[in-house]
Amino acid sequence: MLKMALGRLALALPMLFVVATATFFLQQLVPGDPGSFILGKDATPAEIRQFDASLGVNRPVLAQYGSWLGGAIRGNLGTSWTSHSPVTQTLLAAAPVTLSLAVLAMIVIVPLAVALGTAAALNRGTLDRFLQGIAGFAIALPNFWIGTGLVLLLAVDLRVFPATGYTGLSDPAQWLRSLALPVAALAIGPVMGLALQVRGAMIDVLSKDYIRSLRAAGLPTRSVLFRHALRNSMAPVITTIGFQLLGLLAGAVVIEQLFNLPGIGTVLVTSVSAHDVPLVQGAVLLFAGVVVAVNLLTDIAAAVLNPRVRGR
Amino acid sequence: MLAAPAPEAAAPAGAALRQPAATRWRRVLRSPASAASLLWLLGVVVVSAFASALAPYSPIQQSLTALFQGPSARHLLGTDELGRDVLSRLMFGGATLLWGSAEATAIAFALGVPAGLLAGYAGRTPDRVLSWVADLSFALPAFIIVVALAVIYPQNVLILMGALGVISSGGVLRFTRNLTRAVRDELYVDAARVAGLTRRQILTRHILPVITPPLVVQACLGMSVGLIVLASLSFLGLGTNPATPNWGQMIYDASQQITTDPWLMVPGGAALALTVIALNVLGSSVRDLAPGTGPASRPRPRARRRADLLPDPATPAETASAIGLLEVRDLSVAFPAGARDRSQPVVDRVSFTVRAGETLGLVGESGCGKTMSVLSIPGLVPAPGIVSGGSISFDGTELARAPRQALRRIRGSRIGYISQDPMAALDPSFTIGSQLREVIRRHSGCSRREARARCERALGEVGIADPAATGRLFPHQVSGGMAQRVAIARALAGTPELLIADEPTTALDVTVQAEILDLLRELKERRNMALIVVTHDLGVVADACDRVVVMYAGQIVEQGSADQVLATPRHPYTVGLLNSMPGGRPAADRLDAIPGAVPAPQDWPSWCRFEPRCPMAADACRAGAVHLVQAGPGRRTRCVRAAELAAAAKA
Repeated sequence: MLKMALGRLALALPMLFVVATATFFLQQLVPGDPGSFILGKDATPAEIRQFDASLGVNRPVLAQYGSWLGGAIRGNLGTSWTSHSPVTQTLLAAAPVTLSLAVLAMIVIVPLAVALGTAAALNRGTLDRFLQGIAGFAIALPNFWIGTGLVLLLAVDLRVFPATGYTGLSDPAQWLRSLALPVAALAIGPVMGLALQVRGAMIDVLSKDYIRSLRAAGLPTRSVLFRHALRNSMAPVITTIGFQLLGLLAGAVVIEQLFNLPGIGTVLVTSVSAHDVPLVQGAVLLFAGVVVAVNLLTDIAAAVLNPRVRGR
Repeated sequence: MLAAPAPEAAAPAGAALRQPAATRWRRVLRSPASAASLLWLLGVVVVSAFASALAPYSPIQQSLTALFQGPSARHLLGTDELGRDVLSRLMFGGATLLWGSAEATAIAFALGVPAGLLAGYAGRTPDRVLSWVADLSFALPAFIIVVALAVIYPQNVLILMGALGVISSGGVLRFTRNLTRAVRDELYVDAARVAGLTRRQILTRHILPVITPPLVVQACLGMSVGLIVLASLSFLGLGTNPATPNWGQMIYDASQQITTDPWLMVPGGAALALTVIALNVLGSSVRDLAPGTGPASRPRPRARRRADLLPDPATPAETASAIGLLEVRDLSVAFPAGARDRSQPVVDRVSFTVRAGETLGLVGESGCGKTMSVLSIPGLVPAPGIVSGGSISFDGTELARAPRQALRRIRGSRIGYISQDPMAALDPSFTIGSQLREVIRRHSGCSRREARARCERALGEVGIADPAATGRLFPHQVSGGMAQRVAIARALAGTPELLIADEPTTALDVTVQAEILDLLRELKERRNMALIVVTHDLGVVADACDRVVVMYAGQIVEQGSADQVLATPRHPYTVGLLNSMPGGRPAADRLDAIPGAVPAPQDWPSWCRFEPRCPMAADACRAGAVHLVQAGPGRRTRCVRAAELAAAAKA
């Protein structure tokens, strides 16, 4: 088990390195020099040259790569071209927002999806048809559409939640209130998608021989369903949960924009628009790190749930 | 991201999918939902392609005198904040999205499918290398990278979606590889290989046709993800040029006017959602083409040849004197068939008795209704099947109409059950000890510590050498024979008076079969338990059974003591079974094995059901239903020529 986790980690770290390198060199493809873009048309050539020199972008590419990578290993991702503050600091300041969003969304998604999916699998009637119908729409509507709808309904019309803005964790009640709509917008699609998965896995497991055998052995329905069937149907579902979590990160980029939340997604989008290359690189690297971590955790969770994988 | 890599790609049951492509596609179109989806998608493509000819206005033509007009005759979907015609913008707004997501999907599949075929078919080294590449692509946050690329190529859909396609090809690679591997191991592919077909012939003729439908499904899903990604990019202002509107951007524009004119949210959102839904529906209907799920694979009842369901007039009590532990009378089990309220019996008025401490053999080929007959005893007939008639009296309690709660109390504690495949009968997620202890505690209510001791004793009793160590193993870690011993221990944990063993040795190695049979016999003696053994092997009957019931096509065709039935069979089917035994005695007649197969329930003839396969078939056999009649003390047979069989045996 530990061996498997370490093996996965050994695979993951080189991948992170490849991603970091690719990110760096891709950004070298940015056309034009940063000075002329960031300082604008009014700047004189001398000013531009001086600005570029201050960023170090006229050094040889490999030298830039070396110092960037050296810094990255030590957690220093360089300095923003626009705000001139350290990239790491900017990202760390934004991280709690995105993290809150993703964690709260998962807390909503997983239990709700498991409950809905199980209920639909056990009651193959009205509820099942209802779930399938609703799920089709919920999955097809983009989260920003759902988010805007929620704003209109709950923030503009009913004024239950703030339409935009973020309150830190220091005020937990306001924090929850400020994140309620973004989390709902993020979660509705994935809840339905995951519920369909759970339903499928549960129906599959319920037809298995061992379920009949356990019933024949006299186990109560409660145990057969919620101990044995649910446990077995979670093994395939856990991989989907991993993908959902990664999907949430992409969704968060959009939702942060919509709700004006100062998270990593916002940092990414503003730095992209401002051609702030170090900040873009840092944000991409951070996201890549999260992807690697989530994949690792998913693999471990799948192994915990599936003894056949664990032995390998 | 485009193609969520399915870790356990559904293994396509290859051979069954190999039907003419035209038939398959026609089946997709028969469902109204998928036909509507296809129609919608065609409509969207046509409108997008000819938007400049079809649209009533230019998508960017502003009219400051006509802002925020709701739907009207002049503007069917109204106008937006700059007075632009929403319908026209909608008609122009699909093209970019469709092109972009088609491009990403095409690139992902162009790269992923050949690589996946190579990884799945070419051998170990390509598999390792390509799987590593696929793994690498999973470490990439696809959407984030596309957003970041927008720095270099702002609003360049071609490059942004191309990048998405490249990153997503890893998922397609993994998916194709898993499909290919599953098909590669199918028997008919082996056969093609042995027959000397080249690798390319095997790939193009045998593998590609089978993996195409799941790939089409994945492509549909990929398209729909691509649409959402590109719409999201446009929403962020990174995707496309503001001068050429697309649905994502229309939603963004609308979200800025949400308090003034919420209606504007609807057209863009609906167009996008309906297109995504159409792709998903189309995808899932292609997936439903898989064998066993399509409507055509469902048996259609044929009324003309349906068996008569009139009651047997003569159902003589087997032995009037002895009242058995289990009395099954005229038991019928039926499944819903085709049209509403129609049902198809699979077990047809079966009666037998099991006395305490006795072993009854239930014999017949697969599909004769043996398993359904015994599953109905503890109330475990799988839905949607039901016990449609008759009675099951167990020690004086009626089980056929018993409430669920009563059945649950009887399961395990009075009636035990072990199934055919011991590996499938144990829960793979729990250790052997844990599932055994759970059943023990359920029946005895003892403490955890006590359950541990009892569990080891139970495993010892079924002949497991090291109970403590075995208890810590998972089902996949033990052999089939060992698993069957565990399943027996679990079935006996509640000390039942009757044990039902459904083909207890069929899935096991020949050498282990005898051990398991010996174990069952020994446990039966020691516990003075009654036993029902379902089997297709008359050798098992000869070894272990006191009495035997022979079933064919849902009916009992012969029953009596095991000695009598085996020595002097009174039904040609029993004769056939005897002769098909390895080492079976040479028959009086020319029967070697029984030609043909058991007909499916909807094809049962209304006369003697064995007649089509019977070597003794005569005109009398087709005259009408044949009844089960007394054929000597304690014996019954369902054959019009039973007397001739008896005479032949004497001769």
